[in-house]
Amino acid sequence: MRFILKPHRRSIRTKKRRKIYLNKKRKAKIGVATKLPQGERRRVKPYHNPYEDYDFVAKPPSDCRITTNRDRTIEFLNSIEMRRNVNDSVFVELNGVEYIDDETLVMLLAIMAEFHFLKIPINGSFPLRSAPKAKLVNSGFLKRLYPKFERYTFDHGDQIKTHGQHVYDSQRIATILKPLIIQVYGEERFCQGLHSLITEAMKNTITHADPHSERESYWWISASYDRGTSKATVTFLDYGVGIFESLRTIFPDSPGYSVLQKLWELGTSNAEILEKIMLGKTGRVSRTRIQKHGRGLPYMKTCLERGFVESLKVISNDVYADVSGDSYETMPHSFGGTIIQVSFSNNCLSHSVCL
Amino acid sequence: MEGIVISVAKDYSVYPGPRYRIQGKWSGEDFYHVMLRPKFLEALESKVNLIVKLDGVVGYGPSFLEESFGALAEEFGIASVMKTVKFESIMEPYLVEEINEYIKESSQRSTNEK
Repeated sequence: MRFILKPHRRSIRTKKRRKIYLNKKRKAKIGVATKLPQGERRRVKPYHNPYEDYDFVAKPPSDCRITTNRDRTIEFLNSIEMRRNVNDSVFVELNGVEYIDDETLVMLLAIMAEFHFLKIPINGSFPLRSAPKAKLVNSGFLKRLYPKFERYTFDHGDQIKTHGQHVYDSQRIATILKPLIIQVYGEERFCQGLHSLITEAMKNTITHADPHSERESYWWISASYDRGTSKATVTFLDYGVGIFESLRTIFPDSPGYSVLQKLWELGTSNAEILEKIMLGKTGRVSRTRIQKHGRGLPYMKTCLERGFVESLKVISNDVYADVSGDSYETMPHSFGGTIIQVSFSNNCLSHSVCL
Repeated sequence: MEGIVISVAKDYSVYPGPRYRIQGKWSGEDFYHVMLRPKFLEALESKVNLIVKLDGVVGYGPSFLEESFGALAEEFGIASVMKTVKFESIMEPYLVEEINEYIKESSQRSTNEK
C-alpha cells in the first residue's frame, strides 16, 4: 500500500502536465504537427530568429539613462537615428536594459514614430528586468505609433504623459501641465514662466527644427512626477537638426550673423556659444532673417532666474548644458535634435488662479 | 484710472499663442489686429487711456508680446503708445518693463529702417 501525501499527489499531476507541455514545445521547435482534429491540423512554425528580419540590431547600455549615462545613451540613440537616414530596418534589443528613464523613453518614442512615418520597419524587445519593463509598458509607449494621427497621446495614471504634435498649441501645453501642477502644489495654479518656457521651445521647433525637411517637425513632451522628491519634470524634445546645425544655415542679414561668424572663426565651441547666447552676450541670434527674432533661448534663462523652474537643461547637437548649474559641456556624441528639460517643485513661483 | 479697458484673458484668450497667425491660434499678430489696434484707435479718438490688464493667462511668450505691442509702436510711434497705453499686472509686474522694452526696440528698429 502506498501512502501518498496530498502535496506530493499534486506534484505528480503538475509533473505530468509539464511533461506534456515540454513535449509539445519540442515538437513545435522541430516543426512536427501536433495532434489536432483533421480540419484544424496545421504545421507549427519552427523557431524564428527575429534579428534576421532587420538590417541592424541596436543594443543599448544596461544603464540607459540620459541623467546618469548620458554619452552611451546618446550614442545608442544616434546609432538608431543614423539608420533612419539610410532606410535600414532596426531591431531595438532592450533585453539587457536594467535602468531606463523617462527622457530616454520619449526619445525612443520619437525615433520610432519617425521610422513609422517613413515606413521603415522598426521593432524591439522588452527588457528582461521587471522594473524597466513595467516602466516601458506603463508609459503606454507601444500603444499607437501610427503617423497618420496628428497627435500621439499616451496616458497612464499620473506617471508619464507623452504628446507628439506638429502645430503650436498653447492650450494643449496648459492641459498637459495642469495635472502636474495640481500634483506639485496641491491645487490648480498659474505657472506662467513654466508655460512660457515650454511654449517658446515649441515655437522654436515649428520655426527652426529642420529647414530642409519636407515633413512638419514634431515636438514631444513627457511630463512626470516623482513622489519621492515631490518634483515634477517636463521634457521637451524635437528631433530636428539641433540648435547649432540650424544656426549653420544662418543668412548674412539674419540677427546675430556677424557675432556668430566671429565666434566660429575664433574656434569657439558650441557649448561656449550657447553659454553666451543664454547670458545675452551675443544679442539676438536667429536663423531667420527677421530682426525681431532671437529671444527664445535667453528668455528660458529669464524664467529660471525668476524662479518659475528649479532646473533647466538643454541638450542639442554636441552640447549638454545644465543652465541652472552654469555648466556647458561638449559631448563626444552629437545629438540630432534638441531636448529641453525643466523641473519644478512647490518652492517655485506660481500664482493662485483666484487672484 | 479711467479709459478703455481690455483684459487679455477675458476679452481675448487665456492661452496667448505664438508670434504669427500662421503658426497657430491666439497669436500676437492676431491679438494686435483683432483687439489691440482697434481699441488703441478708439482710445486715441476719445483721448483717453487704453488700459491693458495682463493677468489671468497661462503665460506670455516673448514673441506674443513683441508682435502685439511692438507692432503698435512700429505703426503709431513710441511717444503715442507710451502716452496712451497703460498696463496692469498684479501677478507678473515685471511684464510691464518687458513690454516697454519691446516697444522701445520696435520703435528704434522702425526708425532705423526708415
